[in-house]
Amino acid sequence: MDSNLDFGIKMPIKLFEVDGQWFGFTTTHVNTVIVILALTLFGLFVRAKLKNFKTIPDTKFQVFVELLVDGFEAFTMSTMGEKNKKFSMFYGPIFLFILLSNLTGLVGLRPPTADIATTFALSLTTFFMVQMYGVRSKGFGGYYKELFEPVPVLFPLNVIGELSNPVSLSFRLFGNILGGTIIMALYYTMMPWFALIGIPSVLHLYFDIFAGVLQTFIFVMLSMTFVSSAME
Amino acid sequence: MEDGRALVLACSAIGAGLAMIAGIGPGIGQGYAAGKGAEAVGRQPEAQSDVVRTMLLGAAVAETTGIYGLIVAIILLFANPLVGQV
Amino acid sequence: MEQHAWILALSAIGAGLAMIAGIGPGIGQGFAAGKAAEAMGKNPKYGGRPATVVMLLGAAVAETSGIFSLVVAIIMLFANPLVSRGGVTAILAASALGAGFAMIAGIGPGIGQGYAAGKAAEAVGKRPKLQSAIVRTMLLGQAVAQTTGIYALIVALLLLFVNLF
Repeated sequence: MDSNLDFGIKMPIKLFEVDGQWFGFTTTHVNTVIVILALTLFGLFVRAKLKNFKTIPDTKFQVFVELLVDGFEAFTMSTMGEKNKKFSMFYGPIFLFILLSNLTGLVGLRPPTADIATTFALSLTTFFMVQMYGVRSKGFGGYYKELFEPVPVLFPLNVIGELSNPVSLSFRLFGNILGGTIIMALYYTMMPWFALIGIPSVLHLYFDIFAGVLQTFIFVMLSMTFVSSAME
Repeated sequence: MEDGRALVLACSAIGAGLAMIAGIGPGIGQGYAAGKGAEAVGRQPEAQSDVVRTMLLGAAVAETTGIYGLIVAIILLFANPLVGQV
Repeated sequence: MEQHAWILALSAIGAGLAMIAGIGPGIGQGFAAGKAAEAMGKNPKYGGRPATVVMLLGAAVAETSGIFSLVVAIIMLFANPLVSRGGVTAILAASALGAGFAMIAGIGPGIGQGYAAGKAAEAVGKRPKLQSAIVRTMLLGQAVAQTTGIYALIVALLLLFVNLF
């Protein structure tokens, strides 16, 4: 009964083999490309329509696009402060990418964020941004002196605190989305046919939509907070 | 895989599970911080970004014991130092 | 057959141990419900309804560690990966036990997130206009409190599904 229960990462496109270990494009790569393709097409579509945008929006599409951009700038400004408005151009697309990849569970794809590689890569970008902007705004000595605050004996604890950020960021997103994927896979394989009519939608509502949107919001807001507190 | 190694590895699996129980502490502590953070935002909304920043800083420090538990569990699971000495 | 029995026996114990994590959300959501009732009492006309909404939202988030424990327990009961996985029986049986123990960590986030939901409901009860700011802070704090529950889930899934030893 549990033979067809699989939520693991398969490798549809095998490229080459190195002493018994196959390398190639896994389902995560394929789904990531799908998500990025969708976002790029949306971007190109907006650019095509950009010509006939007017200062007073008359088409619903323009209102939607402006809502998206303004909403995200307001969100960035409220989290990082007025002077960091430019970060919304970076964190907006990241927000959309994570949101869309969390929601791919609805259309039957395996979410790319249910793979530690994706989430760890995303949290590493935050980690290196924190270091870069910290050093840029406070100077090399100034920023790393903070690891000895308030009393030098706390240095190892501060270092672990700093290193634990990318770990907790990536594991939080990964764990939640993987948990949701496992539950849905279990539900679909185990339940008899009549239970598959109404109830999965409720489960999807909780895991894919509620948890997906919440985790996206948490990941981006935490990243912004870490970067802006490094720049303080 | 003679009995000695099997016994050590079996108990390592149980040990890894027991190590994760440390997660209770940060769970409660960070929850407390979140509650007080929400309360503080309720009292002074204009200080929200400072409240959130302090809450996260404290939560990150509270995270460390959870990370210790995770590290010990991961060591027991992946880089088991005990099995070599059997 | 003897080998099989050990794995299934300890899986049963593991599933039981995993569900101990239910203590967490129980206490936490109870606290949140109490605070929401208190807020309803203090400010029934304006503060009651938003406080209840925030309490329910916070309680839903506090539920996640209970759901993860349920997932691990159901995996062990219905779709036990250890049975079909090759390996030394003693290790597989102990892995089931370890996975059960790991999920006990869900007690922490359950209590913590429940406390956060309660305090947020109380704050919204006092000043309903600030609901969005309070809820945002609550959700952020709750998600941070969830991390150790996620670590436990990952270690448990590792023990169940991955051929480690």
